[in-house]
Amino acid sequence: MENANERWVLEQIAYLDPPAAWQPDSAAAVARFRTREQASSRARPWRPWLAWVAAAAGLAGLIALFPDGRAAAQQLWQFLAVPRVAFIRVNPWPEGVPSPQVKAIGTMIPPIPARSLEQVRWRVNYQPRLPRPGVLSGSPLLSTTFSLSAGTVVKAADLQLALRKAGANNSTVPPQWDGAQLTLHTSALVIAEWPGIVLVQSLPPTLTAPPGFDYPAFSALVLRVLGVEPDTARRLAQQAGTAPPWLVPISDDLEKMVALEEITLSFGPATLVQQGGQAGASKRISVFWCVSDRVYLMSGVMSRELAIAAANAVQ
Amino acid sequence: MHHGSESPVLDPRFDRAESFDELFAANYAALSRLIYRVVGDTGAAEDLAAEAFWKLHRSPPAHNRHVTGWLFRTGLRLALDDLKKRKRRAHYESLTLPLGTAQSPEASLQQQEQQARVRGVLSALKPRQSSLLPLRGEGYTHSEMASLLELNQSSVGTLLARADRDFRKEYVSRHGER
Repeated sequence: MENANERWVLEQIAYLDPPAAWQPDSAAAVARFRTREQASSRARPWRPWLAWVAAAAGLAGLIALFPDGRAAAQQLWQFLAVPRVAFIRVNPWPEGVPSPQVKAIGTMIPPIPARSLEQVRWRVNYQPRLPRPGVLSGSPLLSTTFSLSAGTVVKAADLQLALRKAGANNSTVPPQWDGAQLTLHTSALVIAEWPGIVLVQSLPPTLTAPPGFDYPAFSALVLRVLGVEPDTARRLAQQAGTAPPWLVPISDDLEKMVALEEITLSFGPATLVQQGGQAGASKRISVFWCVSDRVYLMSGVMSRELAIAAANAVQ
Repeated sequence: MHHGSESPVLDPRFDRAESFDELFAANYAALSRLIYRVVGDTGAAEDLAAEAFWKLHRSPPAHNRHVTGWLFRTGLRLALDDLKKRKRRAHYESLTLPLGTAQSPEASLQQQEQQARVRGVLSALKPRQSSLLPLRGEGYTHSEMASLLELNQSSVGTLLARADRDFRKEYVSRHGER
C-alpha cells in the first residue's frame, strides 16, 4: 500500500515539474541582488524630485492634513482629490500648536529592481501601464515598492487650539474624535525609469477611519486651520466624502516651482507642473493624473509637448 | 523518474562557500526549481528564491552551521506562504503554460487544473510534508532531504510515507480518486 501511495503521489507531484525550457538565470539574479543591496545600503539621499515622486504617489495625504510645523512653513500645498486634481494654497500650520505626528506603518524599503513587466505584475498584483513603444526612447528600468501606509491619531484639543489660532473661532471639534486613528494606504508602486524621465503609478489610495467618523467634517476643520475659506473648505470637504482628498505637499526645494497648469489629456484632466525656469535652463516637467483605477505621476527633464504626449500614450 | 534529466546534486560547497556569490551561484537555480513546484510560476519562483537569499544576507542564522539548509527551508516557507496567500491561483496558473511544449488547449487546461489541485492539496498538508514532497519530486535523496530539513535521516522514509498517505487522503477527499 505504501508503495502504491508513493507511486500515486509521485504521479501527482510530477504535474508540478518545472518547464523543461526554463533555466533560472543565476548571473542575472546575482546582478539584481547586488543592485538591491546597493540601494539598501545607501542611506538614499533621494534626489529631490524622486522624493517628490514618492510622496506624490504615496503617503502624503495625511502628512498634508497634518503638516509638520517646520516643514509647513511658507509652503504651497497641493490639494488632490481623486479622481480630480486641484490645487489650493494654504497657510502653514499655526505656530505654537503641536503638529500632529504622522508615522509610516512598517518599514520604508527602497524600490526593488524588476527585470520584466511580468515580474512587476506578479509583485504588485495589478497590470502596470506604460507609454506606447516609440514615444519615449529605449526600454525603461523597472522597479517596485511594497504597499505603504501611514497613520495619525486625532488630538481633539490640539485641533481645537489650531482652529482658534487660525481665527476659526466658530468651529468646534467633537470630543469623540479624540484618539481616532486615521490611516492612508497605497498599493505597491511601479516605477519605470527612462533616461531622465520617470513614471510612477499606483492603485488609488484609500483612507481608513473609525466607523462613524465624520471624515468630511474633519477635513473641513483641517482645511480651516490651513487658512481655506469656510465655503471652499466645506465644498472640498464634501468632495472628500465620496473620494478621500489626496493632499501632496511640495517640499522646500520645490517651493519655487510655481508654474502649475490644469491640462486636459485624452482621458481627462491632469495637472502639469514646471520646475525651474531660469532663462536657458532645462525645466523639469511633472504631470499628475488619475483615472478610475490608477494614479500616475510622470516627471522628467523634457519638453511640455513630450510630457503630454507620453502621458497620453500610457496604456 | 519525474524530475528533470539533471538530478539535483547537493553541492559539496554548500556550507563552506567562501563567498556569498558562490553560495548564490551554487544554489539559486536548484532553489528556484524547487520553489516553482510550489508556486507554479517561473517569475515568482525566481523572485522568492532571491528573497530567501536576501533574508540570508540580511539576517543570517545565528549558528552558521548548514547555511544551505536554512536557505532551502526559508525558500520553501516563503513559497508555501505565497501559495496560501494567493487567492487567485488559477489566474497565475494560466500564465505559466509549460515552455517548449505544444499541447492542445484542452490538454493544457487539464494540466493547469490538475496542477492547481495538486498545489491546493500540498498547501493543506503539514509544512514538513509539503516540503518533503516537492524535494522528492526534484529528486533529492533521503540523505539530502534530511540535511536540508534538519531531520534524522532514518526517519525520512517514514515521514515520506505519512506524507504520501496524507496527501492521497486529502486529494481524494477533495477531488475523488483518479
